[in-house]
Amino acid sequence: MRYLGLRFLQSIFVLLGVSLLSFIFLELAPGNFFDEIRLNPQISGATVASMKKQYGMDQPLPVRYFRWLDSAAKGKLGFSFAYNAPVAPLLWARARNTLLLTGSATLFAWLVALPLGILGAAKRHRWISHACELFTSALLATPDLLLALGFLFLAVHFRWFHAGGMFSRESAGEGTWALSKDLAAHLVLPVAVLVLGSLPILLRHTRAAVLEVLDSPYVRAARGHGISPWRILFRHALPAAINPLVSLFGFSLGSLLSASLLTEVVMSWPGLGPLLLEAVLARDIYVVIGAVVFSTVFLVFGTLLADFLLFAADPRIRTEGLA
Amino acid sequence: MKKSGMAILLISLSALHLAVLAAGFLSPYDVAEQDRQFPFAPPTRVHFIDAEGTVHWRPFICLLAEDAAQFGVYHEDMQKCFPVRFLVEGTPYRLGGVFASRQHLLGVDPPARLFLMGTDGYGRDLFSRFLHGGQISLAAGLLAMLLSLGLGMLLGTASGFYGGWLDAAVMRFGELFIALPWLYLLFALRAFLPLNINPSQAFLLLIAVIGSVGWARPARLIRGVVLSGKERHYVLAARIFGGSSLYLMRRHILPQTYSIIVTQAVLLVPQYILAEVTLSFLGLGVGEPVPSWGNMLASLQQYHVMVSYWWMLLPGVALVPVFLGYVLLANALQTRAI
Amino acid sequence: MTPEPLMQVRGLRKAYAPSHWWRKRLPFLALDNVDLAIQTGQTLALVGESGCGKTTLAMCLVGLEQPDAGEIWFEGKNLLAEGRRRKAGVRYEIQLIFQDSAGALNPRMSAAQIIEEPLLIRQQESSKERYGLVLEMMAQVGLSPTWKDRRPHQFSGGQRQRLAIARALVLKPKLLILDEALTGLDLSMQGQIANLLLDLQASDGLSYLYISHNLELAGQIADEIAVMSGGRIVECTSRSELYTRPHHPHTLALLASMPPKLAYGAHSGG
Repeated sequence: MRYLGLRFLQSIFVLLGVSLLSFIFLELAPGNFFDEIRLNPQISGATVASMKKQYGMDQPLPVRYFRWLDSAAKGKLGFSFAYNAPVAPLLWARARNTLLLTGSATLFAWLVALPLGILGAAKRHRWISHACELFTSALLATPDLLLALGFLFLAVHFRWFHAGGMFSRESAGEGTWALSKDLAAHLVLPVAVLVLGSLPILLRHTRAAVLEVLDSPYVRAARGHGISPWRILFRHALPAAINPLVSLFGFSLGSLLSASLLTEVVMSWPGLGPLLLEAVLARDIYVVIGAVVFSTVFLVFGTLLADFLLFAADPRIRTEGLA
Repeated sequence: MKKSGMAILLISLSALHLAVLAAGFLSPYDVAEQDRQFPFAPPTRVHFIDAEGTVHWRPFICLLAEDAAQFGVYHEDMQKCFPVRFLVEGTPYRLGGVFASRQHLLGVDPPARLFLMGTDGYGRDLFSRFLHGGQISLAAGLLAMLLSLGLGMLLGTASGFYGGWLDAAVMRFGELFIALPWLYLLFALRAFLPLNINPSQAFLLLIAVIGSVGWARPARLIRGVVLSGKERHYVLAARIFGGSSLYLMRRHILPQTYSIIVTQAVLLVPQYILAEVTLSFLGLGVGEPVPSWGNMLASLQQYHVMVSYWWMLLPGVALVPVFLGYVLLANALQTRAI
Repeated sequence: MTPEPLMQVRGLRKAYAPSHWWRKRLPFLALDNVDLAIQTGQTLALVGESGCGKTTLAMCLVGLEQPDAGEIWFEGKNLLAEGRRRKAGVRYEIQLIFQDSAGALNPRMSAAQIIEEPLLIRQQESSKERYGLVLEMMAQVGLSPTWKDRRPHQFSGGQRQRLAIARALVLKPKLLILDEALTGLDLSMQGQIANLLLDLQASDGLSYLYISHNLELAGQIADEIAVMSGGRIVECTSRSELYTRPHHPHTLALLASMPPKLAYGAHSGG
C-alpha cells in the first residue's frame, strides 16, 4: 500500500514537471498571440500593449508560472486569448466530446480484441490464428491518418455514413431520442477508425499473454489431469494472463484523451484535438499548456489505476509488498 | 521468419528506398512544374491496344482534353496518341543531390502528358511529387531515428554505467517524456518553434523535434542492458586487468546493446515517418512548395477534393507498403532475438 | 624466522547499507575484522558456507570493492594507503579466476583474443610479442594452439577454466585468487585443473588464495586453511593441524559433513 502512495506522489511530481516544462517551452517560443494580432493593421499598438498588460503577459516567467499554478488550483487553468475565456471550461467541454468518442472506441476495441485474441491463442495452429497475424500486421502498417481519410472517402462517395462532424444541422432542436440517433450515426466512422487503429496492439498483447500462460507447466498439468479445455481456459489460464492485460488496459484508459487527436481533426469531431491544433497555430499558449497537462493527467492516472488494479488482482504483488 | 523470407523483405525495403533516392531519374517531370491546362487531371491511362484493336508492344497514352460541357472533367482523345518513351531527356536534376543529369526513365513527347498518378490543383504531376516527397518523409524518419537512438545510447549508457544520481536524474527526466502522450508532446514542441519558416529549415527542425521526443524508451532499454552487462564476469575481469571505463564500454558492454539498438531502429522509423506525415498534413511540418507525403495529403481536407479527385489519396495508400515492410522486419527481428 | 608474507590482511571491515531508505534494516556486516596472511609460493584455502563473506573478501583484495576499514599489505606496501579507494587493475599482480568459466569469458571473442586482452590493455608489448606470449600461455595451460580462433562456447568447462587461467597468468601475477574455480567442474576435470595449478605453482612460484565451500577440495591443494563464518575468520591453521586438532565448532561441523574416508586420508597424507 505504501508503494501505491509513493507512486501517487511520483505522479504528482511528473505532472508538475510536465507543466513546468511545457510552460518553459511555450514561453520561450518566438512569437506569441499578441504578435500575431499586431499584424492586423486595424488594431493599434497601444491596444495590443494594454491587452498584454491585462493578461499579465508582461510579467516575468516565474511570476506567470505561479499565477498559472494558482489559476489551476482555482480550476481555471489560465486564460485563452482566442476565446476570451478561462481555459478549463473550454477544455472540459471539448474533452467531453473526445471522451465520448474514445470511450466508445475503447469499449468496442476491447470487446473485439479479447475474444479474438483468446481464440487466436487457443487455436494457435489453425488458419484462424495465421489470419489474425496477417490482419494485425496489415492494420499495424496502415496509419490512423490513412484510415480516417479512407473512411471519409468512402462516406463521401457512397453516402452510407455521415462524413464528419458530431451532429447534423437538421437535428438541432429535436428531441433526445432523435438527437441520440443522430449522434450515434455520426459516431460510427470515427469510432471505426479508432477501433481499427488500436486493434493490432490489443490483439497482439492479448494473444501473447494468453499464449504464454497456455504454455506454462501448470496448465499442462491441468490438461494432464483431464480437466476440460474450456474450464482450463476460463478458470486457470485467463486469470493468470491478466497481469499484462491490466497494464495495457491502464494504458488504454490513460490515452483516452490523446489517442484521437488526428481522427478528430480529419473528421471534424469537436474534441480536444482540433482545439489543440487551433491553439498551436494561433499561439494561444495557455490552451496548449492546459490541453497538454490535462491529457498527461489522464495518462499518468491511467497508469496509476492499472497499478492499483494489478495490486488488487494479483495476490503475489500484495504479499510481496509486505516483505 | 525463414532466411529466404527475411532476404526478400530486406531486398524489397532497400529497393523502395533506392527508388525514392533515384526520384529524379524515375520521375517524368520536375516537382514544381505546373501545367495550368490540367489541374486535377486523373491518372493517365496507359494502353497497349489501340482504337482499331491492334496490339502494340510499346505502351502508349492519349492526349487529354478538357470536356467542353463540364469544367474540370477530362476525356481521352483516342485519335491523338503518343508512345511512352524510355530514357528520355527532360528537365535537369541532381541524383542524390550530387550527380547532374537530364535522363529520365519515362516520358512522352509534348503536348501529351504522362500523369501516372494524376495531377494536383496546380497541375503538378503527382507521381513525380510522390517520389520526391518520399525523399523528405523517409529521410525525416531515418534521421530522426538516428537522433533518438544517438541520444538514447548516450544517456542510457551513461545512466546504466555510472548509476547514482546521474541514473536517477536521467530516468526521472525520461519518465516525463514517456508520460506525455506522444502526439501532444510533438505538438507542444513544435509550437515552441517558429511557425513560418522555409521548407529546408522546417525539415531540419522537424527532425530535431521528432528525434528528441523519442529518446526515452530506447534509453531505458539500453540502460537495462548496460546495468546487467557491466556486472558480467568478463567485464569484471577486464577491470582487474586495468581496463578504463571507456575501454570496458567500447569492448564489452556496448556490443551487448547492438541487438536492442537494431530492433529499436526498425520500430522507430515508421513511427517517425508517420510523425512527419502527420505534422506536415496539419501544416506544422514541411510546407509548400516542397512535397512531402504529408502535405500532399493535406488538400484532402477540402470536401470537394475528397469527393471528386480520388487519386489524391494515392500518396497515402502508398504509405502502407513502406510501413508493412518495416513492421514485418521488426516482427522478424523480435522473434529472432527471443 | 618466518619470511615476510606475500600478502597480509589486517582488520578488514565492510558493511552493506540497506537498499531503500524507508526499509528499516540494520547494515549488513560482510567482513568483520578479517585477518589473513598468504606466504609466497604457498596456497591458503579459505573455506566457509555461502554468504560468509568469502567473495567480498576476494573483491576487496582485487580492488573491485572498497573496504570500510583495515589494511591490505602486498609485497610490503599498503594497497589502501591513499584513503580507502583503490582502483582495480593498479596492482595487476593480483588476479582472480571466477567460478563460472562461461560467464568470465566474452562469448564474442576468440581464445587468442581473450588471452591477449590484458596485454592489449597494458600496451607494453608489440603485436608480434603479444602473439608469441599468447601461444606460450596456451601451451602452458595445456590448450592446443590450433584452438586459438575458437569461441568459448566451443570449449568444455575444464578447457574454459584453463583459458581463464591463461588469461590471468599472461601478466605474470604473483597471487592468484581462485573463487570457487573448481566447483563447477566434474571430478576428473577438477583433478586435472588442480594438478595444473600445482604445476604452475611449482614452476612459477605462484601463490594461491583458494576460496571454496568445499573443505575436501581445499584440503587437497592447500598448505594452510582458514575457516570463515559470518564475516569472521574463525580458525586458521596448517592443513594437518586442522584435521587433527580442530578448534572452532564451525570447523567441526564442516569436518563432520565430509565423507570419512577423505578426512582420514588427509590426516595420513600431511
